[in-house]
Amino acid sequence: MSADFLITERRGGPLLLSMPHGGTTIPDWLAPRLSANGTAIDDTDWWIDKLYDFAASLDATVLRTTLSRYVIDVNRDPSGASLYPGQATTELCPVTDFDGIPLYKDGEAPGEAEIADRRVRYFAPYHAALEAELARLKSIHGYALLFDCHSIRSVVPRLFEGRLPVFNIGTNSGAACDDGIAAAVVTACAAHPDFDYALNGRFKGGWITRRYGKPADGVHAVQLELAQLAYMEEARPWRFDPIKTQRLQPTLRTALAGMIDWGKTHFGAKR
Amino acid sequence: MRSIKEPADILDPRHYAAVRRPTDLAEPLPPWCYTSPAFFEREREQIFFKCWNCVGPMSRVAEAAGSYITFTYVDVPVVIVRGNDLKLRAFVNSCRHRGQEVVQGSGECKFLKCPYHAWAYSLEGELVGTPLFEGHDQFDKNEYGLVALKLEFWAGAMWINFDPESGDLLSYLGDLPERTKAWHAEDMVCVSRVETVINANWKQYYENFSDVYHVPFVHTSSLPFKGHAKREWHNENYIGNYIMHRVWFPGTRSIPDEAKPLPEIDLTSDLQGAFYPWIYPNGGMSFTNDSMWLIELYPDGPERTLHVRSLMVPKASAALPDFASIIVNYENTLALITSQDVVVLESQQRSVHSPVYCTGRFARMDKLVHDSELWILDRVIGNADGQ
Repeated sequence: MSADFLITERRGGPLLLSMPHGGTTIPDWLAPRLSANGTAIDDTDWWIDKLYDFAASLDATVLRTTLSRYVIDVNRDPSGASLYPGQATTELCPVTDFDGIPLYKDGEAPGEAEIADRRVRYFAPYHAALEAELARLKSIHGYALLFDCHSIRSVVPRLFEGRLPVFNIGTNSGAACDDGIAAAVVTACAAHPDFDYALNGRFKGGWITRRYGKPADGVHAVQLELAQLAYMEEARPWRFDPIKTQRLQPTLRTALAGMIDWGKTHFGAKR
Repeated sequence: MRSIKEPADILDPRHYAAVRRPTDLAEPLPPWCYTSPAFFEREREQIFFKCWNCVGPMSRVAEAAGSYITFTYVDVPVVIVRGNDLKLRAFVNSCRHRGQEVVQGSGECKFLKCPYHAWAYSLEGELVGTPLFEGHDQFDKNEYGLVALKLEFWAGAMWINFDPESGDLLSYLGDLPERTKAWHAEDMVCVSRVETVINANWKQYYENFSDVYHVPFVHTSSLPFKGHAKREWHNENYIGNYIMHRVWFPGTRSIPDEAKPLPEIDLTSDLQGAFYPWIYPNGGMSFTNDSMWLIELYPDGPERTLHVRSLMVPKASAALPDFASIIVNYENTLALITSQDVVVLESQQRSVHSPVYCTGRFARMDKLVHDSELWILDRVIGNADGQ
């Protein structure tokens, strides 16, 4: 299945970067129904593709959507079950932003039928593409490495207390990847002189990490939720900061290269 | 030929009985006190680890949270860092994992992160990051924060104490803050900081500071008399862990006669001249009519000492449009004084190695030198009189 909102940069290495929340497009049919906060799309993982623009040099495949997460969140359980029961989070088709402010004008929020329709039109294609790419990489290498790329404001009182560490590594509490892969990412992040990290802290990995990260099936998944202050301005108009980015990218590259090295060590280089 | 060699029982008070006589009859410290690793080790335990030690102006650490400096003091790596609350804190700069120096040099950081295994400490010294250490259920991070040192402030300077049981700095200083409060040193700015390595025992400089006898001979070209008439020496009216002498002279003697001086500090006439307190064990100060300078000594073993001089002036003086052209004359004079002292102190250090060197006697003008040596003996050997 192909869809015009999906962008796949297909490459041959075992690593796939998934970017489910970087999209900024609100479809024309939806925009008139959204509140001012809805059209502001503050909760976007801003500039995430630009941050990982070195993916080609690692021979990594990139899959991303241009659609805003406000249309449908492809990193949520499609059944609507919460990823973090008991804690504030946002839904499959969110009706509030991270701060709890409504995204829709009164009476405009989607009903069940509309949500089911969005699942078919926008959710399913992302996962079909993701599954196809993972299958392709497994057929080449015998395994695949999935890295789900995210970023968020470092302070969001409704979602977590205080200030978030810069590197929030999620491996579904260890279930989504081999310990050696987690160690490769932790080592890279911990070595950054200025930034802190957490492993399976507030963010343990979303639906994508949990669903596809199954080492027994040859897919090792890691989610990295980055504090946005590490590479951009954390307030409107969400300016990209090339200087900060220059200081951050070596750490990201080391983390990803560490995952790839782990794969080569354990499975051998296939191409 | 008489000679004095380091005895095996270096801490036996009888070796120091001659030093304890009244000044007119006393002999200076035996030569091994300036060369012996054992004597230095005892000084470290009994003096440097128990007293308040001066480590320079507070402005050494920039104003921003996360600003830090590092230095080594009697072999202990130290870091002083400004917390998120902007308060300064001092820690032993050794990682609680396996002892690596956590940070190097100076700069600004978000965390104090060890380069060896990336253990990370908050700016307040708590251990917050131990990468790849998960699942170690016999380990409580809260017990492995950086080791804190006492850090207090006076006269715009930082003072550390390694002894958690020590009293507070102001009690230690006694009446010195009251005697010097008219200078408002805490409001001054540090306009220069000069480091000089002296290949001599730290006490060579420490004694020299209160040695008024050498001034007309060693500092002929840097500190001409300029008509100063009298001195006042430390006596029983001075209370605190310091020794001070005062020299009366009009104006400043830190610049050539024809040079433009800094504006005078608003001082009453009874505070004319200069006051030179040495705060035991490592801090010297000079309160003059227009400025204050501060000496820190960093002993590096028995025969090497880092000497650091900071020049402090009132903010208004530093803001003068021609400040740079005025202060350069002060800097030149201070540099000349230090270089002249270094020559004699290093010569003195070479001489105490002589196998036939014998100690001499004190002149009346050496009274404070004798007092300084007794202060050392009281702590290194104890108060026993050797009988």
